[in-house]
Amino acid sequence: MEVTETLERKPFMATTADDRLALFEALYEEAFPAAARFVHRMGGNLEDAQDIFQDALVLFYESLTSKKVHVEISYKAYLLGICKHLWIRKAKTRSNEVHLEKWEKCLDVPDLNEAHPSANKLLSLLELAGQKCLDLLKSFYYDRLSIPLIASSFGFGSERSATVQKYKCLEKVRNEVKSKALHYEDFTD
Amino acid sequence: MRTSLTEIAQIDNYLQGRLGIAAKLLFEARMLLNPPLIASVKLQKTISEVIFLHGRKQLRQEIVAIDHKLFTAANKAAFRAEIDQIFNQDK
Repeated sequence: MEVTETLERKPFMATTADDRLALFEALYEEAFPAAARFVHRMGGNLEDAQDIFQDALVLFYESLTSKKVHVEISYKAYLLGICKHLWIRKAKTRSNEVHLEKWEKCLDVPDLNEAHPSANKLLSLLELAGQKCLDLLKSFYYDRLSIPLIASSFGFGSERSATVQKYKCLEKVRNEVKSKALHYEDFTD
Repeated sequence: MRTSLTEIAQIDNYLQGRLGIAAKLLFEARMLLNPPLIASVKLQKTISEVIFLHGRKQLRQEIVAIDHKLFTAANKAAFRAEIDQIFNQDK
């Protein structure tokens, strides 16, 4: 992967896990010092900077794969913008100041700490459906890869086979839930 | 496709916003008349949300591994020196 190119504005393609790791390593090396300088100026320490930057990378990935955000600036500038927002959110939590609420509403950044109730209970059932199913469903629902890419990377003969396998994996999980006589409410306590 | 898979496909299309207006309204009308379908929709939505959280957790672990590499690898000494300089400049 050509590092200098990936740090510039271009359509984001989360192709393979290796590509993603290479891009993230390049971004970490290139953008973390600037994020660290900002956090230091604002009174934070190295651990604060690492926490903020790592959360920002997660949000960066999710916003670009969701295709809801069209980045008009470089990846580095976009990432640093997310870092600044997260720092402000953290500062707001610490100082409980209300005047930043308006800021928050403008940016619409999802809360990384918003965990799904009983997620672990359901995740253990997902694991019973098999690692391949878990990886396949993750490619659809988290990485949001295109169907042709999923079909080729998982070795399916056609896009339709990949889609049907996705439904079969969902069926496996549903059957596991039913066999254990669990209901939707069991996952939302 | 089997009937059960067809239902899963329809629910998935509904949840992922891939149905047109007419198909969406029709599906919602079916849900009103069919409480087990509502339960299936809720369960499938929960499954996709948990998969999302699982993906997020895995990505965070990948990022922590990158951080570890940059703060320990012999060929990343310049990066560490730059970060040390930022946090130790006041000492």
